[in-house]
Amino acid sequence: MEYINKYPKKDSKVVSKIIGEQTMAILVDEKPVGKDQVYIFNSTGTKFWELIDGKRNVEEIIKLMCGAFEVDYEKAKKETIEFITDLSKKRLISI
Amino acid sequence: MRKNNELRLSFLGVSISLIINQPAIFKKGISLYSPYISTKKPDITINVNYADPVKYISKGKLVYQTDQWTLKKENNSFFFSCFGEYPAAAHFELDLNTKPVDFFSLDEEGHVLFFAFLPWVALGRLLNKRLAVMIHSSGVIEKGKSYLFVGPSGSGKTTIASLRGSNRVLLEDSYIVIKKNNSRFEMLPHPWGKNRVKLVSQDGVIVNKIFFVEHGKKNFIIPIDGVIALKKLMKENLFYNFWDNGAIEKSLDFCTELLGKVRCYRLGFVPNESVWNFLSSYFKA
Repeated sequence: MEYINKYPKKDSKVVSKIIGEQTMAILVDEKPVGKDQVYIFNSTGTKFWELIDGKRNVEEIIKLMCGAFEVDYEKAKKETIEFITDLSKKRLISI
Repeated sequence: MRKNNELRLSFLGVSISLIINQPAIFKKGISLYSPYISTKKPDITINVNYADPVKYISKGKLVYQTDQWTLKKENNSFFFSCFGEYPAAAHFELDLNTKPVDFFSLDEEGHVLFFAFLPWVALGRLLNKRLAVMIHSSGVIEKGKSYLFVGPSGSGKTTIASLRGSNRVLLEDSYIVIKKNNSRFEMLPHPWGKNRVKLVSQDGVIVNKIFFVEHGKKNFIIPIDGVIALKKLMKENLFYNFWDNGAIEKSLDFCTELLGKVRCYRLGFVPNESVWNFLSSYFKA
């Protein structure tokens, strides 16, 4: 799927907290097992998480990640799309 | 005004009114919980109906289950069902105080009411509004220090707590309430624990250390902090928030502050007295 012009948005069922350089996100979902919805992001994931606000498109997020971590565009694009795809599969964001 | 068939209990500011028409259940409640009888205005009311629960069991969507009971949801209502030796059912809304909870059982001893529904569902749900959380854990006091052993069923928290030396007191071996008292975090057994220590008041003891326990081939300990510790703690608290974003945010803030004050460790152990000697040596070093 081509994400570049999409505006990813955190799901309303997610509660998150940034602690230091890491983030914990909880999917407040109704599941029989109830305990598999707690996720941790490292410092890179935390930066992504901060930038995902429903107002920035993926292209803008990639450029901001280039600046934040001093990486080239292609590498930032690859990592951004991988992360967004993963978050989408976990239903933490909608695209 | 309290009614004649009303048993009103209060714990850490949470007041629960039980309207019980069956005399044996009422008597049992009085005998079990006399230290917690209160006149405080109730936060929730539970109508305890002496009736066959079978017709009240919902066919809604399963949202949680343990080996003893299930929770189903249909529209905005929750349905609690307990099977086995003491069948029971209950019907309630997400906000427990919007209308009375209806509880149904033919058990005159009130096993499910007093030892499952009240502590796990009603109290757990309400406590997080009162600067307190309930954690799936055991609590032990040794030589004036109090330790919390956290973990899912089968992790060993009951085992380690049951290794009782002469200097150790078991607070509770399944669920511990953590409350904030000014800037201190204290732990105490919830009032419906079968193995609870009889406390003379609802004051707790300061939490000195938190251990996330697991069985091991040898004893080991690893300090952990930050989100790793928070994730482990939240996993053992999450259920009580009933998929309520606001309640989970409160719990998250509470647990973050707790972990900022109390050191946490991952503790692997072999199930014998050596783990206590190991801990003693580790913290002396």
